[in-house]
Amino acid sequence: MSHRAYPRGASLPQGLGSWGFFVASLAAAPWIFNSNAALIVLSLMAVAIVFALSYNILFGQTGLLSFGHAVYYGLGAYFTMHALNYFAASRIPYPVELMPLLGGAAGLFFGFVLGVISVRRAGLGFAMISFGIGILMVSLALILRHWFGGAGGLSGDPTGGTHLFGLTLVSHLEIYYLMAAWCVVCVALMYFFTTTPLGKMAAAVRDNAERVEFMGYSPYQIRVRVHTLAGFFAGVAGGMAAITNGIVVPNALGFVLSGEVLIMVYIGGAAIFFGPVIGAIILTFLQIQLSNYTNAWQLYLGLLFVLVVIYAPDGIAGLIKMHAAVIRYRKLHRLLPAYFLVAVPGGVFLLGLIFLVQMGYALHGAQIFLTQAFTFAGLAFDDHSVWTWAVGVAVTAGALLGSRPGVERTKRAWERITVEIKAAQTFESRAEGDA
Amino acid sequence: MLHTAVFVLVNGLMYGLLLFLLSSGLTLIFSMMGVLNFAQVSFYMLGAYLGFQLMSWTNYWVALFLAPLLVGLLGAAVERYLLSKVHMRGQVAELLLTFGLSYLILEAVKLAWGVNAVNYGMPRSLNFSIFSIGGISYPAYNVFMMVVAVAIFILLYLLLKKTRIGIIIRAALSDRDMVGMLGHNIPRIFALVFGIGCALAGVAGVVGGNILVTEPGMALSLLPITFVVVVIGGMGSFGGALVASLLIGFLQNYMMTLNVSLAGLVGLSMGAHAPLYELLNQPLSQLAAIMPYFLMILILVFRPKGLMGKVET
Repeated sequence: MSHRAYPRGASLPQGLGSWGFFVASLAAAPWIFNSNAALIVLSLMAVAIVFALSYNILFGQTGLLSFGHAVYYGLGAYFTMHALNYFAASRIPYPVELMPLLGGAAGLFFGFVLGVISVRRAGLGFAMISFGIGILMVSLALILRHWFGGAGGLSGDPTGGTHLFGLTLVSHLEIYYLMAAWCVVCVALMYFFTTTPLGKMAAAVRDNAERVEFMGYSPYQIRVRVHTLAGFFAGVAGGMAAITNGIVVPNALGFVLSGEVLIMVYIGGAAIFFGPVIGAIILTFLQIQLSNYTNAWQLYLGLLFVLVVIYAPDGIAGLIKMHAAVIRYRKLHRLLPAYFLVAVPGGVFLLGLIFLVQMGYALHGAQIFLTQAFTFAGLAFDDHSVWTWAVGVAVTAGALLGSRPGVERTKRAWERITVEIKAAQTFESRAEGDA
Repeated sequence: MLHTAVFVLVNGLMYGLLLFLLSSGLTLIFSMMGVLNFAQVSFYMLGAYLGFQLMSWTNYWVALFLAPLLVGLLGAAVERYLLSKVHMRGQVAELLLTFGLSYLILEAVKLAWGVNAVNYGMPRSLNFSIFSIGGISYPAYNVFMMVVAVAIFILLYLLLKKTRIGIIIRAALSDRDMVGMLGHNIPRIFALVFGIGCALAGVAGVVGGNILVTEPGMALSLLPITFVVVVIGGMGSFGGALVASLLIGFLQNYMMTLNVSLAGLVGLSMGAHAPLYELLNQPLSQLAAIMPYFLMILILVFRPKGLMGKVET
């Protein structure tokens, strides 16, 4: 794996800058996106950020690829919801704002118990085991109907209880600010974790478990502790989701969600601390927006994911980091022409692909709703005509071929620039050493 | 009593062999290339859909031959054009790529054949009752499926152990670079192995798709159980995969015949609000589907290598 040292800290003032930006944008977001629908999306983004970062404690930091992380999220959500209902029924005063902590406690407990079993193997073994345990838990949730509420799930009312900060949680705005506060606290704690001795040892286990063992540590015990901690934060995220949504369904433990968080983290960039944050924001947005327009959204997501795995293994954050270096050394102007040569045929290819996929779906839809005509970008097309398909395929394939020269040129430009930047960095560090 | 025993043996053997068709392809690819193919069951699904399509155009026998071939070719193309780009980044990158691929295949299947189950029936020439026990009659097709499964393994065994290409494949497993130095085309060998592994899944799809149901959810419903087989058997072990497949096949079908619940077994009576009430009072036949996962946990606790695995991965 091409993991770098983690976290390769930016120098402190720069780090403070990105923290300031993060907190400020969380605080300011509701002024820009102030409809109720937008506020719900924002709250879900805050939940997704915590969940994605908790996943990255396992994946990016410890090298444990999990296909069952939603188990701890879902259990956290269920425990929070049960606690809400229990307190509400028993009329004990309770602070709703702190309820995600109960979810965290549940995540912590199950993260430990199931971690003891599942991190007996790392690597591919853990991937399969976490998958199996995820399927087991969701099947159990469907069997234990009394506690998990069956397929319909469990609902509750987060507006009761005492209110620590005067938040009644009736309006979406108040819910959002509560979620944002939890998000900031959790992100800060998880960042702090990367700097602790356990965090450093986790990174060492990821890079070379054998060597860690020679040093006298047990990689297994380190993995168990990390898995417990990741379970805790996933549980908090689940508790936050329970308060935001007011309902928990067994699917919250399921494989689909576990896969989604993996995709979020990977597309955002697992090797960089803020990568999963970027992934969580973008994917939550796309998921809610795109699924309104197209039923092929999973296909586009899969394509994007495969492209990222092959061409940008450090995700969006990795791309940003690469370009930041290029800009710092004033070499961006040499990339732009090559990018332009890729972007034009690439854009045509993308449009062509989307056109074909949507037309394919329309063809199926047409068998059910006979009257609907297929429209794309406001124009009507005949999706039953061979010619429409032939032209579509030809344009798309032609654009793919046409992007070849641009791709080659981009590759060459990057190779040269990487060498030059490395040389410049070596020069700088020597100069520092002399001083 | 005898009826039950035969029911368990026949159905267990059938389901176990289907599981082995799936897990042997996975094991082949894993032990030869070190790749855990998350999309293995997606190729199984593709085999079933292609089998259905080809059968409706021509007949079942053409489908049985062509569909696995097409799936194998697609697998080889995936290895040649996608997977080969991430081999040097290691097992996690390879696993992630096949994970993404499983999304793409699922969506492509929905796009081509729709979200509902397709009507993939048995060939008429094999759709007659070959024997019947206790009022349940078994179509000849089920026996045919088992014959196909066994024949495939014999062929695969002979290919790997007795032919020149098999020797090269096994040599590439133990020392890839040396085999490359001797002038063999390693990328092509990898494409061949991945293609064969996917074609095995394709065969499973063609012969299993009409016994089970051919629908877009069929991949995800078999994926975890395939993984469980590999974990229980021991990663990379064909013998382990066979034993684990049959074990799960028999155990699951045996449980399906049991009407007693766990609480009933130990003579425990409990109130409806006690914790785990539903789990403990569910008839065991309803718990058959989740038994393999408990088995996996037991194996992990008491024998982390798996039944016949040599290394902990």
